[in-house]
Amino acid sequence: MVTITFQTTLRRSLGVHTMQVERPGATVGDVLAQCEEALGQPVLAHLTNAQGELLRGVMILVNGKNVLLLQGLGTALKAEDEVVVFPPAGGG
Amino acid sequence: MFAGGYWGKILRVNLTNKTYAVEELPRETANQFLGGMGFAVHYLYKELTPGIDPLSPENKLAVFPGPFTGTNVPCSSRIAFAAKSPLTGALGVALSGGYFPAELKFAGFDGIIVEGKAEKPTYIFIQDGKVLFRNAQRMWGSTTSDCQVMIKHDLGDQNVRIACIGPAGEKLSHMACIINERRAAGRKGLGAVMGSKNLKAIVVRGNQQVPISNAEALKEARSTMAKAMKASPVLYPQFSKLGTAMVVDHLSAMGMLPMNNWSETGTAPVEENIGVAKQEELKVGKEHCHSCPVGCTQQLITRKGPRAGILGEPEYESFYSLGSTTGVSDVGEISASDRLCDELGLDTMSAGVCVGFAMELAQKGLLPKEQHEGLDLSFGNATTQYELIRRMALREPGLGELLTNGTRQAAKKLGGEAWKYAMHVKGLELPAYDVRGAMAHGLNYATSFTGADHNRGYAIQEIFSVPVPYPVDKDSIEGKGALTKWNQDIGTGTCDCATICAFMLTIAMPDTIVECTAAMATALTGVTFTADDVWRIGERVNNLAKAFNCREGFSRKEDTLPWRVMHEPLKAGLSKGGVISPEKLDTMLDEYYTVRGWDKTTSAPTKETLLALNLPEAARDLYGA
Ligand code: SF4
Repeated sequence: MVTITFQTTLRRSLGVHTMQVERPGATVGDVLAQCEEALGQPVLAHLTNAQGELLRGVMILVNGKNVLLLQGLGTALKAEDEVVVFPPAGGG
Repeated sequence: MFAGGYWGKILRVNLTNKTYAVEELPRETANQFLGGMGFAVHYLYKELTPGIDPLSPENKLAVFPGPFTGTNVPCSSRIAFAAKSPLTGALGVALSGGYFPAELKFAGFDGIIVEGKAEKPTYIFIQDGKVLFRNAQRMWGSTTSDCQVMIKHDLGDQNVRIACIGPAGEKLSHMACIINERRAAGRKGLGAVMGSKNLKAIVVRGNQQVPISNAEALKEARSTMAKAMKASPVLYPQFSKLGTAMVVDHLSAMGMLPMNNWSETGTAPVEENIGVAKQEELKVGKEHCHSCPVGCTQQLITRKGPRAGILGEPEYESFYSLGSTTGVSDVGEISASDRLCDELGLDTMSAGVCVGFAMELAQKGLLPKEQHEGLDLSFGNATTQYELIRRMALREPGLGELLTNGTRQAAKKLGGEAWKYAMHVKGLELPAYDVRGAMAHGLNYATSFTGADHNRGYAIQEIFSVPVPYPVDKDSIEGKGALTKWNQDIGTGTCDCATICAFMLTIAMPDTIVECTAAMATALTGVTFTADDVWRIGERVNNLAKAFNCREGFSRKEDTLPWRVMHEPLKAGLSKGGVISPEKLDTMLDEYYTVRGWDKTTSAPTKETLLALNLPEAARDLYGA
């Protein structure tokens, strides 16, 4: 099972904190699309632009590693991987 | 002499003799240092004698807006206050926004240098090229809001803009800030420098329009900036509505919001108590700085308890310093404490960190019970926090006196192991990011010339995953020396010197701000600035500031981090296990000094580096003729 945790505004707008998905071999993008289906509301739209690229400032960590340093949304996942998704933020 | 942006005039005020002079701003100075913090560092380096007491008449207060200030460049009303800092002993710079910066430009000046010491409490009134020295005896002792009310009444003018100190500055608290309207040049104790000069306030009023060299070109450059601002997924959709404190949730979820004096970071989420949803319940309005279409300042009203009815404007930093790090978990209480600090003229950040420090020492038995003065020093006690702020600001004997000069001095007085829990670098208390989860941010705290300062070298790549100039692994130390230099120089060259609000760099346009700054500076002033020039200015200012500190005796050993950050890994949360061990810090420092062209043993810029940056005076001072 891959665990996906949504953080901050995304968590609030989706009304969900954590989901688990059974998809060995799937990518981060696949898994997020599956969450979208299960929730019946857009998820990727919060994170990508019209071209499907990650918005600047989206932070997706797979087992603590930023997917920008892996294969982005195309990062392949293994069972038991933990994905944490932060929508863009700034300030502080 | 200048076609726009600058007036070409620096006002020099001598409080001892009650005299002033208007000096020409040399074109070379504008070319080399651009304005704002650049001018402040340049003049203070040139004019301050090494080794002076920061609270003596020999120290000077430099007050410099940028060439953009007072124009219609978005978010450009910023001003650098600078002096040798009583808190750190290093060069201290703090920037503020609001309306005072623009008004100083309208009054016809590119900056002010205040010297000497007034015989009696004084405020200076600058209006359209003239200066009046006014008696501030009646305002002495007043809070910062009341001081502004009294001065407006005294002058019979409701439209003056005022930068003043509260009782904390008068009492020479090393954490005293300068307040204009309700904004703060918060850090490094610059309010005490004003207090030491018997200077209660600087008041400005002006009617002159800042000239623009090429209005068409400026319009074009501005529209590039406006487009970038609109394209940001954060600036208008979120930040404008929620302000800086929107990131309480983000940093807490990252396990990087320091809790209980950094002893419990990551152990529990705090969003439920002090996150955005809770903040919104108390929100009553928002404020803008001059020329800012964003308006990020959120106004909150405390609704219950003994402090009901108080209107605060707490930033993210206060949700940490007066919230998570003192264990206070009520938004209304944090907001009220924030307001009290502003009114008494105390830096909210250092003040809160001092409270958290005292609480942890009490818990550990390092602050003996007989010194608690009847206060319950448990983490989370908001009433104790409120009372300690008052005692520190008024330098009351006992705990107030002990803490009012910051954690470094307090730890020294207490002795024993207290120093291990004093969360400061170079005497400046740490901001709201537990850097055990962000290595470059930590390296910046260690190396910033001002001490632990999030306003220099903010690592957006680590904190917000912004892939500019490239994406990074926040937990890795690799390449963090070069990244820290990049972050420090870009912020200095653009935001701190030009001047532009730092959120335009960190949120809206990290990828285009340098080019945009160069284009706007050229259009405004008629002096050609390239993107390379802007980078170079940032680098030059950071080198000169470092040379200032070296001249004061600073060396590699001061470029360090608190014991806890280096020896206690984060216990829990998303950044669990994170630590910046002495070995990691050393590796990052070596790389940082190498990319900077600084000597790895002394940390000083090498002679070649200084000469290459056209800083021959600093090269002479550090290395002889
Ligand atoms: S974004 Fe906030 S701090 Fe920046 S200029 Fe606007 S109101 Fe001031």
